[in-house]
Amino acid sequence: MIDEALRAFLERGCAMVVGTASADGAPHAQRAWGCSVVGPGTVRVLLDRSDPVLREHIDAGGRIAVTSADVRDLRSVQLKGRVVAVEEEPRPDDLDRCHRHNDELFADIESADFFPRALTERMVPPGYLVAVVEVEELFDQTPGPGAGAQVEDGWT
Amino acid sequence: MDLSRDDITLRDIAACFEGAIPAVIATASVDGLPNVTYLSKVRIVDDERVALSNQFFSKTARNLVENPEADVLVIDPRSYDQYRLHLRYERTDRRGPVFDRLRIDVDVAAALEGMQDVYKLRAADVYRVTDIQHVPSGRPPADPELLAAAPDGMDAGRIAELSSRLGRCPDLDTVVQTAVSGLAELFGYEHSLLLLLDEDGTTLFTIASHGYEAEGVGSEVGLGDGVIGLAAERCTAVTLGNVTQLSKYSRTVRRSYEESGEIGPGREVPVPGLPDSASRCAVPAMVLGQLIGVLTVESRRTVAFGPADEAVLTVVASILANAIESERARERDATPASAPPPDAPPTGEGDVTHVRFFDVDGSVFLDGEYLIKGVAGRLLWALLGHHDREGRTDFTNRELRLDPSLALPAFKDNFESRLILLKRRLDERDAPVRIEKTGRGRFRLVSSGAVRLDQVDDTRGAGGRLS
Repeated sequence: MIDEALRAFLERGCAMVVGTASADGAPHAQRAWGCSVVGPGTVRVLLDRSDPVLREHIDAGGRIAVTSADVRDLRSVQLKGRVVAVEEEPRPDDLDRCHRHNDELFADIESADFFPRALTERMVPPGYLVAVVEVEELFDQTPGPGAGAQVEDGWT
Repeated sequence: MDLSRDDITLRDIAACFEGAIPAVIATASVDGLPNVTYLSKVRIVDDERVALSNQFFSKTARNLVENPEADVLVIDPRSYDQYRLHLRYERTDRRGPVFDRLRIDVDVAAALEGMQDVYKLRAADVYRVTDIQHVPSGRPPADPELLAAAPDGMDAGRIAELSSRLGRCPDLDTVVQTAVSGLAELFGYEHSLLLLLDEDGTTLFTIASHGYEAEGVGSEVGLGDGVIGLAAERCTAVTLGNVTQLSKYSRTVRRSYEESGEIGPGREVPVPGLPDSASRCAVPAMVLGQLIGVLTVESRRTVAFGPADEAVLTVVASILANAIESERARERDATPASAPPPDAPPTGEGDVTHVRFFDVDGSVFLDGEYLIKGVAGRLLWALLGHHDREGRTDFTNRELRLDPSLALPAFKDNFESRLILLKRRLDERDAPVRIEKTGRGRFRLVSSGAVRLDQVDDTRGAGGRLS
């Protein structure tokens, strides 16, 4: 499901956001801070551990949407799936990935949109946890008439 | 602002809605499957509502039919403070003031990349904001020096001063220069352009600028193209605080249309101005319901202009439009009071300048470098012809206006604007041929050396737009 091209895209410094929903259908948006592809349909996503609503939703094994966008050209993909595990303490390789992700992201924003790191780093949460997500569907989310189309023939 | 407040209003966080940083929206289907995506812009409708544009039939829009709740994250581009808005979908507008406001946003994005035929607003979705929360940051507040200073806004004293200066200008050339330099000196608008509408009403040409490396006199913008062209076409002020983000968004959407085959690869509309412009405000200059031109300012600061700037510029543009029309009428009616002054002494003896004229579009090249085209190019060619054949250097507006070779329209010929355009373009290029005003309705051709004239009378065309 996740080919090499998509893996490379997901693991670079994209701007990432996640959407979750409560049992009664109330949606919740939050930013995410890096992603590792650990299997053809499994990703580890670093999330803000200080957000109690997000925590409640993912602890319940809820469904999750993850959108990654390259800030240089807004090319975007949305993964939809289910949280199969929540790890309170990120592993060292998770944190390495997170730091590389944030470095790339803030550098891209600075060069593409001219916002200095001193500002953009204010988005960084006080701490992280990891959600392991089994991906069920992929959608091209790049702005334009094709936004929302299912990715079926690989990510080019 | 006290971020710990629990009564934050939409007005408190208005800067978040300028589109400088994409917002994020999460929705969920009726069976609880979430969807999360970026939004190019969220617009404030009133104190309790926001609106989102709906250009494509998105999953977000489909979810909201089933489940009207949405969660949105927005960021203040000046501080990177983040806010969470809980929304409840209320209605979809397909016409009316909210739709019209969002349509301008979409039309600007379309105009930046020439997508006006395909990229259109379908609907404006209106939501009630049920809660606003500040999202705590793990980092301290931003250094105040990084925060952009708020614009000064309307100041009647400075408006009066600029109006007074314009009122004392003796001619059109001085009017346009006083306007752009006054905007910088009195209001701090360091980068401005004044463009006038051409005779056909299809193109705007730059008559004066301030704060750019190249003055760009003569550069053109088509009606409807980019921020300037849209302000002219709609006769309404267009303000962008997110030029960088919107340009990027427009390029991506255009590429997507190209890939889908809905539009072929095409031109990119060149927008005159700062290469790293972050904010732009363009207002129409109108008199008696007629568009005269567009006054535009830009800045490297994100969200640099607001309603107060639109108000200031609209007043200045209106004063300018009246001054320009008044000066045009005066020049048209001017009768030389006495016999033309004697022709100036022979011109200097500098190098020979090769002047090449392309009849097909009036383009003029000086020593192989493009100078100008259209009416202004034909005017220069006519003047040089008279000088070459008859040794004349002194002319009147009235006689030139009657010259059939200029191909001036019978109505609203714009002659004075074209003459000023030509004069300013020759000055900007430090050309060996110049124009000097010698009195009301009179001017002199001055050359620092001999000229060699060369007319290309075919249909191959030449020249191009200044950039």
